[in-house]
Amino acid sequence: MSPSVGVFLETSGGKPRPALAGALAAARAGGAPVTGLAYESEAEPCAALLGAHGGGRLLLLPDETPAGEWGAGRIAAFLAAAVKAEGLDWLTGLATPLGREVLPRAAALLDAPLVTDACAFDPGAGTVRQALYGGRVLADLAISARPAVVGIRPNSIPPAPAAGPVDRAAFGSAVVPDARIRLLRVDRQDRSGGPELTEARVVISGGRPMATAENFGILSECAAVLGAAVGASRAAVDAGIAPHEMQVGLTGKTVNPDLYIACGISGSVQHFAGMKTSKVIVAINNDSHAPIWAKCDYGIVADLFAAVPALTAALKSAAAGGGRT
Amino acid sequence: MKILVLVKQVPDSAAAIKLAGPASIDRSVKPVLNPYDEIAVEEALRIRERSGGEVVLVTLGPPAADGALRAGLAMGADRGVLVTCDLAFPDPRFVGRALAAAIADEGSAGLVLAGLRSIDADGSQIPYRVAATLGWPAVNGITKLELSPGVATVTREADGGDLEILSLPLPCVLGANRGLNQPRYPKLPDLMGAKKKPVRVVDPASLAGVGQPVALAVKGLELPPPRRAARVLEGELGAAAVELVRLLREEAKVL
Amino acid sequence: MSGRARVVVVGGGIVGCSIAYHLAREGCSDVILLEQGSLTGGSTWHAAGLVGQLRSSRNITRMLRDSVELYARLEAETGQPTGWKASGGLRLASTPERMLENRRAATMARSFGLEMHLLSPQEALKYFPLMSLDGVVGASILPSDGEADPAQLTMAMAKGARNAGVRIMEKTRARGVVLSGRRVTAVETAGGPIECETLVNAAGMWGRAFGLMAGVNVPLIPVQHQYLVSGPMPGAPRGYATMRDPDNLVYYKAEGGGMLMGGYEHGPIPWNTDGPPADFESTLLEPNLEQFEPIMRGALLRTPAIEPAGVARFINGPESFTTDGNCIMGPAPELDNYYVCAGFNAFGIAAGGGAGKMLAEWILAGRPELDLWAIDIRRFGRYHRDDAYLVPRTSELYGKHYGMSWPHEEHDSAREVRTSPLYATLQARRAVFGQKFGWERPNWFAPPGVEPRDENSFGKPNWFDAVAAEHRAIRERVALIDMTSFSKFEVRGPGAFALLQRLAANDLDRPVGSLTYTQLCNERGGVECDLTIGRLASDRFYVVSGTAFATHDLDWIRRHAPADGSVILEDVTDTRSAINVCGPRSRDLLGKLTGADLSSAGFPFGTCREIEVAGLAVRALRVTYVGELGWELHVPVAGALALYEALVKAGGPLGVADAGYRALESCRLEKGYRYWSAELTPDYTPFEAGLGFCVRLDKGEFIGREALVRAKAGGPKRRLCTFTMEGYVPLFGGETILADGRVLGVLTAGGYGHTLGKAIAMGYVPSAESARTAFEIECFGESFRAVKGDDVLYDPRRARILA
Repeated sequence: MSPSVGVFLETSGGKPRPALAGALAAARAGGAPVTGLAYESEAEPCAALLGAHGGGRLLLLPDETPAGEWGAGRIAAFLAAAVKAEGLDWLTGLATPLGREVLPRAAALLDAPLVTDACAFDPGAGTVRQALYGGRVLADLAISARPAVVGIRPNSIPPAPAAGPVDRAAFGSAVVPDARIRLLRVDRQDRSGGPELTEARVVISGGRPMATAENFGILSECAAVLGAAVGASRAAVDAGIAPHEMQVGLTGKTVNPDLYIACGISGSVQHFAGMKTSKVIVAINNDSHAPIWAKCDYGIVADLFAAVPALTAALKSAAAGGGRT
Repeated sequence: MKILVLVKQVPDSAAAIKLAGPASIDRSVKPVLNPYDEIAVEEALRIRERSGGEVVLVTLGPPAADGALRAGLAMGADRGVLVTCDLAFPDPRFVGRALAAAIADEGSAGLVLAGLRSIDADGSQIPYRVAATLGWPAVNGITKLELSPGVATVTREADGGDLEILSLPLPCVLGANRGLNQPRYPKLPDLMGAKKKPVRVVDPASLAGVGQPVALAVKGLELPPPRRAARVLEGELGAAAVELVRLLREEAKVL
Repeated sequence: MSGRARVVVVGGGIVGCSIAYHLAREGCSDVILLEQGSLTGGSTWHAAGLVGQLRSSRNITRMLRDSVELYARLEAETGQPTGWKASGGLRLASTPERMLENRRAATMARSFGLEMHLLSPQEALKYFPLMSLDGVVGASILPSDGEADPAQLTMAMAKGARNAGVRIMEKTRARGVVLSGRRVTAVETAGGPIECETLVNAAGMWGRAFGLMAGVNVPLIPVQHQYLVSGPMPGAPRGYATMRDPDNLVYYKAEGGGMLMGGYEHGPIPWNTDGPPADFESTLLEPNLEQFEPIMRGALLRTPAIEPAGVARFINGPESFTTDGNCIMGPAPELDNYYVCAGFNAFGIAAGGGAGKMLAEWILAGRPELDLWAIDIRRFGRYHRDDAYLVPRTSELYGKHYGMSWPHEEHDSAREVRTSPLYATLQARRAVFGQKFGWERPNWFAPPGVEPRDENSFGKPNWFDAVAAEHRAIRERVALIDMTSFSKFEVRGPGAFALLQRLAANDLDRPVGSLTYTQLCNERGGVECDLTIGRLASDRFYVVSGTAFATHDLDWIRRHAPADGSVILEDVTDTRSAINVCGPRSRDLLGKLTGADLSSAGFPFGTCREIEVAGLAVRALRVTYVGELGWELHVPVAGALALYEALVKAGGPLGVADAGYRALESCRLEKGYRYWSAELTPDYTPFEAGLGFCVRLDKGEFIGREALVRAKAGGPKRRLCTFTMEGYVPLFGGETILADGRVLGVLTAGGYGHTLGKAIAMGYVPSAESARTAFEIECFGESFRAVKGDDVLYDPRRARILA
């Protein structure tokens, strides 16, 4: 019998995340209709998304959140309750920051197995593929227990658009979040400063050719567009144009971003030891013989003082032209 | 207060991972204490420094996993508990049960801290499972913690960058995120003394409610393809930059 | 892709890149450098980066000074930063003996032209504020020492090399070597063979295994070496000197707001002694905290501030170490076109620049600019191939790195590798042995009541009186010295005479039975070998040389020998023992055991005869290194013990005594006899060494003749002089010679003459100064009045020898 799959239709700014298209494509591969799970107030856009990607049931949770109740806890309780009430075989969602909070919470409530950040998912075969060790190994897992929970890495599964009818229904069962966790308040956060170097998913680093501490400003501009952290090579730190806290390398910090942009960095073994697990490495260097060319994925042989601003400009115009996820 | 910290030994993020078979990893890779767990240990030490008590580290793994314990003990924790399990890929449900049972077995824990996620499996699930088994509340990913009698007030970063300030009663399970603190570097005397601090080895079969160790069904492991030769973009700089951005988005999928 | 180059350098660490850089600089850019992974991926990338120049040999110190000079100009030259800082090298003394060692080092530095000052503890604090002075007795500072970034230095040299046309191929392993006879013709790579005229093994930790592919012995092993980088130390000054506190096993360098701290522990851990796995590059080992503990304790004492700072990074990386703490350089004796430059004992960053320069010169000019015997690959013997020797001895030396370097120090590990047939007997007779070139040799004999053991000290040694007694036995009675370890070769064949005559500065065209003392010179007239050559037949020669020079001397002779089979060269060291019977009663003693004519008419000095002694066939050489009547009896090993026992028995009534090498040394100083590697080196001509009587410019062509003709015409620029000082002075060689406070040179040797009752030393001074008689010799920072006298202080007319 085809497995039933529930999909948490996460929204941002009132709109469902476009990457859900991929999650829906995977969910449909099971054969049975998909059950979307969303808030009542977002029924329209969620129904539209669901309808454009195979259709299915849309279970809606009333929005009223009592004062002091924590939203994420409520969602997790809803997801777990929906799985139980509907007898769903699978619960999926995106491995976004919210997904990484509610899916594990729901899995714990269900005592169900969970793969948090899958890049492939076959509900029919009951198999999931995920990256381990920061991306250094890919693992294929078979999950036999039901229900099971799978968080899907955004943009890892291609969408399969197909029109289909959507059958909306209010979720009638009780949703009881853990009342011991109380939301006291929400504060706005000052997001300036960028992510922390060892945590960042994108890092842009400068080497000795940056010449002055002030010049690191051109990297900061690029970083701001990328949402990246700024690092430095040992040579730059030794020359006094970057503080030791920014040093990436054997005697500095180790980073593991998805994207590492090395500007005017020769790529010595000592530096590489601090960033070699980066998923993608880009080099900007006007020395075509620098060792980094043997270790990077993409690059531009050019003066960084021209190339980095060009990159910043290209990123800005790409962002303006429409985003993803 | 007795604070228990869940720690995990993981392969160093800079080490190369080698496969030892179609579904097994060469486990001789240099192990380190999971970086997020370091933050949890640091927080526990600060609480002990402020208000006294004991910091006990709990880990699950093979006997060699005591490296993570020793690293935490070198930071200043008092003692450790090693729940033995030789599986390379234990099922997190089993892990949660076993750790919860070890915590219950320790008794009188006022607080359980853990790291937000481990850098090897990256599931972020253990804090929730342990809490669910113990029947305690849990919040993961905290960047601030204040303790008052019987209550923990925590901050976590919500979707979109807002900060949620939550309160929950003790005992509870809290998962530490970067930004909660800056873990201290181990001091030389503590590094030397770590091996003398007591570590209690526990067989999970001896703990109530744990059951048999369960492994994940790993069907296959694959190393990602090695980096191919660099794609050097030539020509006019502006156009090259635009092309680079396009490749990073569409081909490499990192933007 | 196959290719060719004039020189192929295997190994892209600091040493390989330096060699390539310097070859190009000297005009040879037809060079390919092969690196199996990424440049610096072996030991270089994780080296601590301290650069200390002062070593125990002047020429090695000069090589390190060359490094410093290069590092200082590399950034301007190549545009590539190096991180070089002349931050200074501070060396602490935490015991009085260590301070004496510092004094001795300061004296040496002065003689090598390096500025070095002795400091009080308070003064030392100015150079390294973050230390505790607890236990510090004093210190020394070498202001031109410093630190650099190993990777950047290497990249800068690589860039310089590349700019000059050198081809650098990374991810290209040298998988094998193609040989044709005694030549390397190509290096094999995955992409095909690369032909070369000269091959350089700069493969670091892989150097031994790579050498074996060509049958070349490179006796180094990787050893684990650790250091840590501390967390930030608030309030730390921006920069300070590098510091070594050997008594506490630690060294330091400023690093990123904190400090880098490492050290050398006793009982190190050798690692993969056959060499690392092929895919090991750019990898570290797991930290071993327990192993590092003694060093940590030293650091907590010396720099308490490191405790609150904590440990940010712990690094354990293997580095190459050798059996004597010196690197391995030069032409491998096994082949004709294979050079080695490896085994830098964790001072590869200090040495890399200068070593590359020296080796490039060695390749291009055929010889290095300076005598580099201390690091020459030909100082090793066959026994250095064996792990049983290599591993324990290297470990012992690593552990002694920060130990005191005592004069005359012997090592404990890997002993009894080569023993003479007399070994057990001499041991029973209370010989105290030392090891040279693997051989156990009696240094002295302990009289009853004296413990047969060296006690290390800088003062008058515990064996002083025992050696005096042996000395007296030699001078007044008769003594037996076991000289089995001496190197012995046979050179024979139709071309043998022509070869030796072409190599020797002295005339070998003398009758069968003659012994000729001669030097073999190089093209510049410097002395490459110092030999006694006996003519056994018109086409058969018996060559005797110093114990440690077998590999070297054979290599020199072989390189010049014809390849047509007309000369056979054979090392016969192990086939014969040599017992030196010496002293005024030696004829009496020998006369009891042989019927041969021992008179000066029948057996003149400077001849050799096959005679029967105690029923054994013996090759007797009437030659001396002690300056007395005597014979060296070269007997086949099977008969050595019997011969010795017969001599002892017959010698009883004559007062025969055993004597060891320290007594030998005392005697030879009184006679002014020279020793190769000390007084005689490739840096000096025989004329400068006062051996003009051994040079026969009129005998026909020989290597170095032209240079010697010019040298004789021009007059020697330097002269070897003999000095005496009143009383006992702790001289060991290397002390500074001064006149009116001006530094003139260094001692090649120093000791005590028991017949003269004075301290005796030898050393070269500029010829202009050699007329004077009053000099000063500085020893441990103290100045002693020295008198330059005749070269031969005892029996200058050789009456005793010619009796």
